[in-house]
Amino acid sequence: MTRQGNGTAGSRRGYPVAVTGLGLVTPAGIGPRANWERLCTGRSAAAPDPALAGAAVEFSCRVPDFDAGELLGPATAWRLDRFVQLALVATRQALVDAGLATPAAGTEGPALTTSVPGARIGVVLGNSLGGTGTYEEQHRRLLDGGVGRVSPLLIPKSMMNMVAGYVAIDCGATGPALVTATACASGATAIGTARELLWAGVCDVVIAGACESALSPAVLAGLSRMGALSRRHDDPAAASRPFDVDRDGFVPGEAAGVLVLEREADARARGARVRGYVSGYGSSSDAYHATAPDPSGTGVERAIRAALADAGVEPADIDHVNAHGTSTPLGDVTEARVVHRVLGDGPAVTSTKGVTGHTLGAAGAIEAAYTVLAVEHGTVPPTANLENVDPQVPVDVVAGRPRSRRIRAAISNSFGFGGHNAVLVVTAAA
Amino acid sequence: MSTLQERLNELLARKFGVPAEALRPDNTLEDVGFDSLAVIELALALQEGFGIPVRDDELSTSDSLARVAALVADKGVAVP
Repeated sequence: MTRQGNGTAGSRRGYPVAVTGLGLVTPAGIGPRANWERLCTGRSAAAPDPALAGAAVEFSCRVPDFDAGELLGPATAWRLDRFVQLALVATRQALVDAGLATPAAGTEGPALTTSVPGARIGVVLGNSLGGTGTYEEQHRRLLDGGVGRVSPLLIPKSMMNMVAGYVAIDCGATGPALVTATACASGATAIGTARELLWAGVCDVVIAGACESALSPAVLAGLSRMGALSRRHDDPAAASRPFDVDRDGFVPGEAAGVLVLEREADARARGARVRGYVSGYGSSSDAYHATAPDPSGTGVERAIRAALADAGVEPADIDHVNAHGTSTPLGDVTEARVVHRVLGDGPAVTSTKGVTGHTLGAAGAIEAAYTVLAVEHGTVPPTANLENVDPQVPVDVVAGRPRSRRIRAAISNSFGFGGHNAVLVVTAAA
Repeated sequence: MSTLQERLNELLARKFGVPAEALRPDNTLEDVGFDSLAVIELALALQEGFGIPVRDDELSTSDSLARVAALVADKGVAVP
C-alpha cells in the first residue's frame, strides 16, 4: 500500500481520504439512491407514529418499511436493538458500494472480496443514546417481575459500543473498532476519527458513520421536557422546518449512515470509484452550557475554521453548507450567523433535517453522506417546509426545489449537547 | 391442536428465528444457533409462553429440542 498521498484533494495532512462507499438507512429511505430522490422532493418524512401512542410526542421520523428480519435474517435480528440493526444494513450497503464485498446472499452477512486483510479494516461509528428501547422495556420487566424477568441480552443489546462490535462481527473487520459519543455530533466525530486512523497508518479501510434509534418513551419525555421537540401535533409533516420563522423545535428521528473511507492512493490502486473526499475536519467545544448553544458562536466558528484549514481551502471555496439546522428557534439562528460570518453570502445552505427530522447521533454521518451526494450531483437539495425564512437568518438557504450548481467544496456542520462542534469538509472527486 | 414439540418449534421460529429445516428433535440448541445467553432467554420465553417455572440452569446449549420439549412436559404442560 502506498503511504504517501500526493495532495491532489487539497488536504494539508498528506493523505487525501477518499469516500468509496455509501450506505444510508434513514427516514428518507433505504439506500443512497432512495435517499437522494426523497431529499430532492423536499417532502418531510415526519408522520404520526402509532408506536408512540401516549408518549410525549406522537409523531416522529422513522425509517419506513424497515424489516430487520427480512434484511438481516430473523436469527440475527432478534438479538439486536434497532440502532444496531440499522447500522448493519447501512454498513452492508456501503461495503458493496465500495466494491469491497459482494451483496449478502439471503440474510447472510456480506462476504468481503478485498485483498485488504480484516486486521487493516477499522470500524468507527457514532452513537448517542444506545439501545434505549431495550433498556426501557427491560426496566419495566424488572419493576413488574423482578430480576428473573430481565433478558440476559439487556446489556449486549443496549450498550452503545456494541454497534461497532456487531459490525465487526458481521463483516470480519478485525482492526480497531470503537464508538464515538459527542451527542448529535457523533457521526461527524466518527468520520474525523476514522481519518486519523488512516493517516496514522493503522488501517487501510475504515467503516465510518453513525446510527441512532432511540424513539423510546422516556427519551422522548426527556427531550420534550427540555422543550427541544416540535409541538406541531396537528401537522407533523410541517413540523421540521429549519430556518423557517415558524419553527418550534425538532422532530426526533432514527437512522444509520456509513461511509467507507480509504487513503486516496489505496483507493486508486485497487481501482475503486472515488465518490468524493473528506478533506477536512475541525472540532471544538463551546465550554459554555450543557445544552444551549453559545450565542457568540465562537466555538462553532473555530470548528469551521479548523476544518477549512485542515482541508487547505479558503472560505470562498465553499459552495455549499449542509447545516446542522435542527429546526430549533435558537440553534438555527446561531448557526446561520456564524456560517455567514465565516463564509459570507457564497454558499448555498440547506438543512436536510427538514426531510429526515433530527436523527440525533446519526445526523452527522447521514449528512456527511448527503454532502458527498450533493457534491457528486452538483445539486443542493431544498430545505423542507421552508416557507418564510427567519429574518434573523442571513444566509442563502435553498427552499422549494433543488438548486443546481457546481460544488467544489462543501461543509457539513454537526453540533451536540455538551457543546460539541464537529465540521467536515467534503470536496469533489477529481 | 398441535403437539408440544410443534408449539415449541413455533416459539423457536417466531422468537428466535430458527429456520424450519433446523427444527429437528435431535438437534441441540447449539446446533440451531443458541449460545449461553440465548438459552437463558429461551428459559424466560418458556416461562412466559407456557406459564411454567423454568430455572436458568435447567437448560443448556447441549440439550436437544426433544429434551427441551420433555422438560416442558415434565412441568405439567398438557400434550393434546
